[in-house]
Amino acid sequence: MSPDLSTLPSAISDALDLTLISQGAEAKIYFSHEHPFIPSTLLAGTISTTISNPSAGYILKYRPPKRYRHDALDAQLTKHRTLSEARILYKLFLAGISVPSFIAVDPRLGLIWMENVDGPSLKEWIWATETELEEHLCEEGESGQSKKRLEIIKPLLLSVGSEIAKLHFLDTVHGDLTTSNLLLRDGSSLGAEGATGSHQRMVPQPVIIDFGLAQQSTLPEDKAVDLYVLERAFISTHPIHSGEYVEWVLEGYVAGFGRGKKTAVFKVNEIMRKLDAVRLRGRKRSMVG
Amino acid sequence: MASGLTLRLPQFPHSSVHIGLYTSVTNASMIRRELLSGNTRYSYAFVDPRCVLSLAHVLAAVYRALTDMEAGGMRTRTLSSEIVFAFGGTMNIADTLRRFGINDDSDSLLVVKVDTDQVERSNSVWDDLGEIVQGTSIPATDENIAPLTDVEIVRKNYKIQEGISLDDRSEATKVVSGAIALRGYL
Repeated sequence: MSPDLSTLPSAISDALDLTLISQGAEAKIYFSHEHPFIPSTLLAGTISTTISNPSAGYILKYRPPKRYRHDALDAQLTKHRTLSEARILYKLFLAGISVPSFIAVDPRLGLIWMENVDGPSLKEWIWATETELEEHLCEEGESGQSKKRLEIIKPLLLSVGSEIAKLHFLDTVHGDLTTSNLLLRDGSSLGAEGATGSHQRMVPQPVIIDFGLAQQSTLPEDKAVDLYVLERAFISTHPIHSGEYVEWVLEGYVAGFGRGKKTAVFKVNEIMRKLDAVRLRGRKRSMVG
Repeated sequence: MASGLTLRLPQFPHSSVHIGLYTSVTNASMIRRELLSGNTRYSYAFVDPRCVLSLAHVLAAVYRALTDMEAGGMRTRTLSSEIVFAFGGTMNIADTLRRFGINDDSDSLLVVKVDTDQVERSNSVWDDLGEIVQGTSIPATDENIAPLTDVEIVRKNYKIQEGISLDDRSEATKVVSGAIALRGYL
């Protein structure tokens, strides 16, 4: 499948050097070294105190027109979804949630500019970490590896859970929570010392991305479904240790929900109860008997 | 005579954006009068620097105005007035122009001019502005803008909640540039 840049408005694709990095059913994701309106000279200059981390580059998310839809309907859908995503990205940023910074939006054309998050997805990071642990600690056997998993992977998953909790506490559900939609800033590797290295390694910061299917919802059910989707994602992409991983994420979630305020404790317990119910309803589960 | 900053927005490589900064301005009310009377010689965006956080903030407004112009969606009559309007987070044109634009008692000014490459100039932008503005031209940099900013005015203009800190100029710029980008949509 070759990249199809032809639908991106030429005014933009001519002016900027864009690389297609991902194509989903709904949108194409392009990467740009250049900011859409801040010239590189300003970004690079030492005097520029007002632009953070220019080196990671920028992302242009493009929702192309869908020819198979009726024109008017397609235009409205594209505009609505683009705006919804942009608004959510901005509001979450204002609330202090870890998301890519929103830069600009063109709802008519279906474009969103945002900062790029330079780092692996949680999926990639777990795979890499598990592999590295296996290689370095094969002599120590399973118990040694499990201890290391606890030391290295658990803190990260706790913070992932906590970040999702912040999102849900704001009555926003992500809609597509998977380990591919959780990126890690400063999470390039286990560090030069490798798996057996120092314990002072920085825990990479999780960043939640892709709010194309996100919605506002106060219902514990919707939040439980959000968590269940993530749970299924762990089970399918990290089958061996998914039990531990999900447990840690949920632990971080419960601890981080509402930062322990009294009303929050009641709410999060409600969500956990709903999660149990949702699990029973899952695919290939019989509710008979 | 010091000249200001000229740059090109990456997405609009065929346009030049000129940004000038003036302090000790004595003829603000005259400029404002000429502006309001529609004198085409004053086709510049005159912005109150107290409302400005950074160059990136200015560029966010310029970008919004330019993209709206390209899409045929300008809400004011000229690109210059659209740039000032673009600074605001609301659809209220008069209110935004009053808050962010030049006032009779303004003693400093940030001036923006956008030229497409086709435009021929008999007089350089800086010479022209030097004739129009009675004040001291200083380089348009973040360092020079910073002391002129009144963060409380910024907070009021964008109705930024007290819980959101504006101490870090970089983070604060993100807050306002997001509001600029989402004007009319939030």
